[in-house]
Amino acid sequence: MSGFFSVLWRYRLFIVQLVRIQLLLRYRRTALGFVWTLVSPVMTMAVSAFVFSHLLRFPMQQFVVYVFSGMLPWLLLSNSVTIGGATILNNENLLRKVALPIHAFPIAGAIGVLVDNMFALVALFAIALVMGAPITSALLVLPLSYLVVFLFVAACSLFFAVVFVFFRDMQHITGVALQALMYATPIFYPLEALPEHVRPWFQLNPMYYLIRLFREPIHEGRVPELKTWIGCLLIAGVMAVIAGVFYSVLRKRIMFRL
Amino acid sequence: MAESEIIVEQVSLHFRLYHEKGADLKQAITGLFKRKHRESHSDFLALNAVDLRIVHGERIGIVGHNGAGKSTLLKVISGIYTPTTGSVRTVGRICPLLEIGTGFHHELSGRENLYLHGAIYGLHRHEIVELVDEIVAFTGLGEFIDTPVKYYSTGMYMRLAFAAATAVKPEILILDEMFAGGDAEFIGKATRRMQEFLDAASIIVFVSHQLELIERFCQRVVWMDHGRVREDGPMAEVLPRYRAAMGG
Repeated sequence: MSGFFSVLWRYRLFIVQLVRIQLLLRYRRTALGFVWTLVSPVMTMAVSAFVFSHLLRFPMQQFVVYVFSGMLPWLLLSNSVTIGGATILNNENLLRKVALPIHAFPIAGAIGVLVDNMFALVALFAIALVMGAPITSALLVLPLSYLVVFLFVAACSLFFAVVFVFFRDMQHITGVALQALMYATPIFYPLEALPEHVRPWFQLNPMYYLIRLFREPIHEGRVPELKTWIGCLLIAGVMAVIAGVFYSVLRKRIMFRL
Repeated sequence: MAESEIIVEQVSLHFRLYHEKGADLKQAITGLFKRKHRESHSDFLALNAVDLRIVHGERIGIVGHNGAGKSTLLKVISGIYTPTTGSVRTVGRICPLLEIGTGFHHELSGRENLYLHGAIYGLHRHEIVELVDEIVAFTGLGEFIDTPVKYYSTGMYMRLAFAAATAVKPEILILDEMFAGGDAEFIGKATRRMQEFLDAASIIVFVSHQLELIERFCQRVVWMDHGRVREDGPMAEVLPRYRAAMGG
């Protein structure tokens, strides 16, 4: 356990380089550079806001902010699983030649996704303000929201990176599963829009709770209650323990499966 | 500086060969339903109770037929593979000489690649800055150092990759077929740098099929055969016997 983190600390410069490269390679030689991080979620948001506000007859302006506040933590999760989850396989040549801490790769992947997400937050927020997002002191709680959700997504990144080594097919299945989970998470609709008897099922989804840490300060302008924080921290902690145990059990076998 | 040392004690490594690498999920699922499923893999002993002690100042060559466990032994010593049983202890910073271009990204500039390269070796930031300066001087890349390496000519790329690979001088150096795939003319020019690089290491473990290289570099030879150490002794004794066995 302490070895897990002390190795990360020892290889911090390596992790910084991996994060830099992940960001550089994404934006290099695209005319709009990192603007693309913003454009694609904005377009997703615009399309879904248009469709859902007509479908569900919500006031459009409020709805954009509502979707935006749910999309941020969602993108954090889905990118961590797809980008972070691919890191061990993508670096198999390097891993086969140099003894490097394997978990540094998915953790660096998740950090890269986090940095990306924070860029998106800043720029999307400008748009959200125009659309009428409330500026309140509740927004100051967002760094803490990021911290809790990051713990969860970094654990997911590590977990799936190991899963993908042993079951390569899972990469394809996971893409579909993520899409299903996205629609099962109240990002584009409020949970109250669903029939009452199905709601408990949707509440089994950990993302249902985690997106509140963003939605309440951004959309509703209030700091989430203490019990929301504790619940989310518990979810993230459980996921971290699962990923950590999973990794430490399989760590020695990973090299033989690359 | 402390004396470098490698101690390999009773190391065995079971390798599991998967016959169909891609079908694991399917197998895992069908395996749930079938009570007796077909063996999807076979085990073999890549290393079998290997004992080896390498001390400061030794240049040691490892020979053996294909699949004798030479490269596997190097990977166990480097810490890439964990042995199934037995233990490996090393004193001193251990590094492989990376194949030309390992870990290089074509979209990144020479400088950015060197930063990654230095970080792979666990260098500190100021060491990396020095390394970049030294490499710019050696390669004569000048301002090309900030150009993505995919625009480099083959010669420029080779110079950069070679300089990077030999820039960090480890105490224990692992060489797996070091000259394989190299450009002969360039290696000629770089001989001096290579020599300095080799001289800086307090231990060199060298695997090669080119016995002339082993003869030139190593005083001690370990002959691996089916995962076991068949012979271990002075180069002048072991190598002729190995040659005879191969020739016969």
